[in-house]
Amino acid sequence: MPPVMDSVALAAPLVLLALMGVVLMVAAAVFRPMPKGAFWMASCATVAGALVLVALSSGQPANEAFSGMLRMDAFGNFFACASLLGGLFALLLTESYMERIGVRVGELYALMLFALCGMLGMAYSNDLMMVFISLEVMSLAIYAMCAIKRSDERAVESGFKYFILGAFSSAIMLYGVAFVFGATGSTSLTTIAHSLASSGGEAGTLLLVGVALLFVGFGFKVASVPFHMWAPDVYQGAPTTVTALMATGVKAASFAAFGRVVIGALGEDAGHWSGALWVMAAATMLVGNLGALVQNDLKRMFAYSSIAHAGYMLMALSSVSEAGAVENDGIGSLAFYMLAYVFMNAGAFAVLSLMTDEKGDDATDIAKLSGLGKSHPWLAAGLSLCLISLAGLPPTMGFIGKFYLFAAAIGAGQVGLAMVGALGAAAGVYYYLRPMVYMYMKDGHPEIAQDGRAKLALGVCGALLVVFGLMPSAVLAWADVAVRSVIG
Amino acid sequence: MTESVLFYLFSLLAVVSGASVILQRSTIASALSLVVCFFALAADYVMLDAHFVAVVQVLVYAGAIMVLFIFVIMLLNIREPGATPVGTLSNRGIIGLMAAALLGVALIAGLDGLVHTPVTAINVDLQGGQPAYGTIAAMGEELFRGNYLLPFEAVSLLLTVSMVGAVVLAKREV
Repeated sequence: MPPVMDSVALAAPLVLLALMGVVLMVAAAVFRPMPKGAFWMASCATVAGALVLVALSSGQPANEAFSGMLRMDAFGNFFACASLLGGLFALLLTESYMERIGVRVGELYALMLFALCGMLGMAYSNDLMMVFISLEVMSLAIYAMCAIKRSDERAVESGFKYFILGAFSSAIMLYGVAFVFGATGSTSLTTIAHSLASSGGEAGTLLLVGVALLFVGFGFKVASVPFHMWAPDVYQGAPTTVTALMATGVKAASFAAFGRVVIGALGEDAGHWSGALWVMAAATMLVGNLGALVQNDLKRMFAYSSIAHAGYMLMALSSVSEAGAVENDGIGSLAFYMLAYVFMNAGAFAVLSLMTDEKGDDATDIAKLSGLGKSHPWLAAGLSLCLISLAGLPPTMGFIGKFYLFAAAIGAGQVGLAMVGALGAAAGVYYYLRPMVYMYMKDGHPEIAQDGRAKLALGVCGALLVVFGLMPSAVLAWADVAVRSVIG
Repeated sequence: MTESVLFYLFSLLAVVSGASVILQRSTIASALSLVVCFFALAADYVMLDAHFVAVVQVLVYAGAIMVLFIFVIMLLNIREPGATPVGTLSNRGIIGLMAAALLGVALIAGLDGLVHTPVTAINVDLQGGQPAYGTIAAMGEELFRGNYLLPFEAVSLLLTVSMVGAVVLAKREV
């Protein structure tokens, strides 16, 4: 087999997604109007196939593909799984939701697969050039998906806002890549790590500027303060299933690339940036949680909640880099929490995607939940479980995840940051329990669409949240192996 | 010998068509003269062994950018300007002529220095010491067999995605 084919075989999940994306793109042009079910089924099968491919390769030792552009290791596999699961759950909701809001566009599924291919690229990239290109593949597909309902002004606004600000932040990030290249002579994360190690972990001004600009780019993608302004408008305006993908897959992929750069490439000189991460994490947790308190629209509330959770995960990143990584027990907390975050958001958005009015618009005002506990007890129970997990209460995966996050921060000596996080989490309990008050203590007749697939997604997420909340050790061990695989 | 004859021929063509760009009265004729100028320059690049630059020149400038120009001209429907009497010079024309004269003097002064440098020295310097530098073969080697295969393919995926996105958002409802 020629060496290129070896690389292609290693990157099989990405190749599968890209190829099927192209197939669906052509099919969408040929089969008009879009046949019911076929596109949805094909894309579900593709994402499931990619998941299987990632799972099959998970036992392999770390391997470089395409002359070091990709690094297929446990870290990449873990975050690829998180992104693909997020994508699969979002896909489960997509078809019937798009039917309800009156969008019949076959290209949507092609864009979805392209976006997932970009996410996998970000999870595996071992070169800043590939990180950037993958990020753009993912983002461009998401921008278009945000505005896919062109008759809805808010959706178009959401897509346009995300596009303009995203393009701007990409440019800043690219500038940072150029600076890092100038300082270290390479865009390969491995070479950057070597060059930092050989200079005794002492970063020059050029590198500091470059890393600062990179942090701006990543900070925008994970929606961390002060680069979070876009999130509420974009989350609220975009179609609910696209928002679900943004809250799960995009977040996981962005944190994968961010984590690989901070832990893998810059770990040698962590002292320089853990301070910056500290400030970003603290501000993000506070602004996200406090902003969510006053929201009455559920999608907007989940936007602030996603900002807050970006803060928690930045706290994990900060504590890993502070503790010199290897000796820290809580090192897997970042990955574990990411997976928990995917499950609880996917479950919550499964319910939100059912909240549409007869005109085909989203009706996600919190008051619309009134009486859900009586009329749809199972939906209400599932949503409550996700909210409890988001709030970080037992017996859910969110509780275990938060526990390890805070343990890691305290273990790394970042008690102050942990206290800020605890304050934010306490505020979080209020706004996560508020929808439950509406569901169980107020009377009303909620308009909820019937959709078996959304119920399936909610059921699977809820079950996993409880199972992994009670028996977290296997996932924790996997998360630990994953993050360790990226060090050195 | 043939090469330098061709080089000067294409250079002359570039200068003539360049002049035609600013002398034509109709905008579309100007734009088409610019196409000729771009092609002539691309031919000059080939003579200078910068094959890749030549290809990019044709693809990007003569291809994409010119199509854009002509689209804009057609969309805006720019009329031919009303008859200005030939032979009169406006203030702007005089200032333009002076600027062109200054640029010409500067260029001749700069070229004068180049002419007296041995040609071989310039060639080696331009080619970075490697005879194949700048050829399509060297570029292709890097892109398809070297380190940049994956980024190259990924960029083509990126372009596909942006095209699908643009079409989905811009096409009329059917």
